[in-house]
Amino acid sequence: MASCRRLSGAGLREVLGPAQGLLFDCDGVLWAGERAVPGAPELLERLRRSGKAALFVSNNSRRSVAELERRFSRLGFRGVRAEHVFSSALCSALFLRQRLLGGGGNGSGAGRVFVLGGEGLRGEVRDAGLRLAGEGEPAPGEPVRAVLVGYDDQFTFAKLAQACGYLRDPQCLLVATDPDPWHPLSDGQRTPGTGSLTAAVETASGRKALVVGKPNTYMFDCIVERFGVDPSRTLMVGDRLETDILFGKNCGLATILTLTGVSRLEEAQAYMASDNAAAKDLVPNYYVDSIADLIPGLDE
Amino acid sequence: AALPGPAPADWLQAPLDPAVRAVLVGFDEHFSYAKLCQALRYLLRGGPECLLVGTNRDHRLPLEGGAGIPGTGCLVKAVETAAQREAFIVGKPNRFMFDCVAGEFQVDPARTIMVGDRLDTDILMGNDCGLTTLLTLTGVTALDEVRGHQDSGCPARHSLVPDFYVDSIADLLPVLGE
Repeated sequence: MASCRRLSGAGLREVLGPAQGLLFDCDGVLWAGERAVPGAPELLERLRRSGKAALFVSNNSRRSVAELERRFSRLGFRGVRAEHVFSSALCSALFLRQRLLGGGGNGSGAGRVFVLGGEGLRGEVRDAGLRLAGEGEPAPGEPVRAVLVGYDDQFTFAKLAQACGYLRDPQCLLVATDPDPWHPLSDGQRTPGTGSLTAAVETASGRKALVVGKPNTYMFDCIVERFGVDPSRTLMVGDRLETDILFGKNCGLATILTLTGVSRLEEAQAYMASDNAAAKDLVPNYYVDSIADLIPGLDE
Repeated sequence: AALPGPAPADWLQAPLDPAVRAVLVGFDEHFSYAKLCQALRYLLRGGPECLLVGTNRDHRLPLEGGAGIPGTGCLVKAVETAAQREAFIVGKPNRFMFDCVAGEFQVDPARTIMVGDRLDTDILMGNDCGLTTLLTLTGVTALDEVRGHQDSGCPARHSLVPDFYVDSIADLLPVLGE
């Protein structure tokens, strides 16, 4: 079991030295709301100068990767391009493309996708070559072959009922972008996450959703396919034990918990002390107060 | 109270009613993310001091022709998931409603029959309250579902098995006097 050790000093150099690259969660790690975590842009710059790769893996299904690229830039992070960013929106679209189009070919005959989500998510699905079912439309014409549940701040009972109508066809897939039950806001409030909407759709339809996001490993498969990452030389850095740290464990990555986001150190320690075998997988190998603490571990 | 503006950023700034001490989830065909957001705010503000109550857990309300619409259970699940807490469910199979009826009408369970179409609500409540249970097949349950529970080795599933069944409650007419 991982031992949740603070990473500093000599230990920091020992862990970062051999690493070829780091995967970062975004919210609560690089930024909180509209503010970059102090020192985070400098860390990425120093990683680049050390020749280490930085890739980004986020469960947030609100934004397209193009929007995320602009966000990185706006918050002071240099050199991050859309191709480095793996959001659950992008990966859900890739997953659906694989399942409905067989990974290639055009859209005809593949069926449509009913998306519960905003324009960022809808755009990723379209960019993957898939067609969207309209809202409030009756069923005729090309069948709906998948219902995709994402973060949807315009979710309604009517959309829930429409989704269930499509899911009566056992051939229609039920896919969720991520399992997050809520997301923190900078003032300490919380906003409901995709997980809560997925629970409603699962209950109504009697089906279990295929969840693309962390802690499931599909997003790592996408990363490996595009960049050929070696898990034994890659570190996962995140702020949420139940998604980021478990994701790292599931993908064979060493994990670093940063305390600028959702999870508290006491929670990690509680998992470590737990008798429950599953709890052990939520314990990070290391922790830092902020990712800025990683800077001294890199060469000048 | 109406929410100011169309987006979460607006809703999250709306003042909360200081008198609210419970969130009650019932059937709501106007359920929305905005309402889910507000429910979560009250539950976080109040902690365990703010009750979370659901009227029932039914997944589905059946309509004619085999169609159906989502039931209250879906909305309860959404709130429970966001708040990471379990709701107190008033409806069947919880015995609360039977206790209300029994208290009001001096009902003797040993001489009372519970008639329903749903095993995990009607029949389960009836069995738990010591009533004789009668399943009618005009609703959501098919007989082979009952057989499945009967044949399972699981005591919890045996509680879902009714004492009797009829194809329809009209089948009771011949045994009642003129």
